[in-house]
Amino acid sequence: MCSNRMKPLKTCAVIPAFNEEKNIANVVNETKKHVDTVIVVDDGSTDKTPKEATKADIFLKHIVNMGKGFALQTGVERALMEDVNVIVCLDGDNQHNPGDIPKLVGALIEQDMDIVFGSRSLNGDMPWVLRFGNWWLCKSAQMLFGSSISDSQTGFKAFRKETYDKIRWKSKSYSMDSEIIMRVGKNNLRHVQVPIKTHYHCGHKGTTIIDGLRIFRDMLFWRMWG
Amino acid sequence: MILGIQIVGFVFSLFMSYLTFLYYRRGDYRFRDFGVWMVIWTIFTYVVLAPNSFGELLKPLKVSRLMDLFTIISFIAVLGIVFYLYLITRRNEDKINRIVREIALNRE
Repeated sequence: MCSNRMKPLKTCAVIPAFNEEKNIANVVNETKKHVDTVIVVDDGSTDKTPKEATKADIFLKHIVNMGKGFALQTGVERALMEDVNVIVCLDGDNQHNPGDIPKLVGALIEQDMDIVFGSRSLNGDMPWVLRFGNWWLCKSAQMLFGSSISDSQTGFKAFRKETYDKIRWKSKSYSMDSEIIMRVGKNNLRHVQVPIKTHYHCGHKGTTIIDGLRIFRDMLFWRMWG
Repeated sequence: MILGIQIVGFVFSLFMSYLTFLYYRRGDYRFRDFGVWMVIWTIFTYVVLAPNSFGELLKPLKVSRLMDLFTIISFIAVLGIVFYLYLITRRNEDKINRIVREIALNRE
């Protein structure tokens, strides 16, 4: 694949995983079909996630659980050591369909964007608690940062290597998704949303109400001092 | 006359001195730390048992009661300790971040 800037396009997927022994192998296998390199960051799992993720091209392990934002950053830092142009982030819980990766990368290259967000809001599979939390955080992001993103908590995104310096997040937790949106607005980055399919396997994992409140608190903090 | 609250304070001080000694014996900190904490509990015990010896401080500090004076000093001390602990926690957090990432990137 070649970009419109005529450089050979090398894509790398970064997948953070915490206790995902049931899903990670499938996510890695499916993702490998669409990118050149797959990096899995095991964020201190206590189950068999490391064993199940052996098919990843690069496997990194945090010795203790640090949070999704930190794990993703470790993976992206490692990806930058490779000769990659595009970095794709997706969750390790099989929530995202790796088959959507070409859609995201395609939009990034063809529309000459800096970052592309996979938007879950166009399908109705999301549990109502997440749907309400997402709506609330999106409205907050709109009011606080003038964002037009309709799914502020999406973990499925693709961005150019050069974009990372402008969106480099400090949050170690789930707040990182909102922080990226804040930085996209602050740096006037070209962005677009692409509808993606999602499937929710486990109700008690992922963002909780407490996480939602923390994200909102962080957003207020960034608005005032960010 | 010793008041009820003084007994509570004294018992607390004895208990904390015991814990300080216990953790020192377990090797959780060095002799210097043990000494510092024992001095703190000794001063605390003195304040609890002889609060009136601080009565002369009331006028120059414009505080009407001894209890108010101790409350204010305790509040200031607690705020100082919280800030100090926050600083230490942040420093340790940064160290952990660096260690975890270094290990992850170097142990592929």
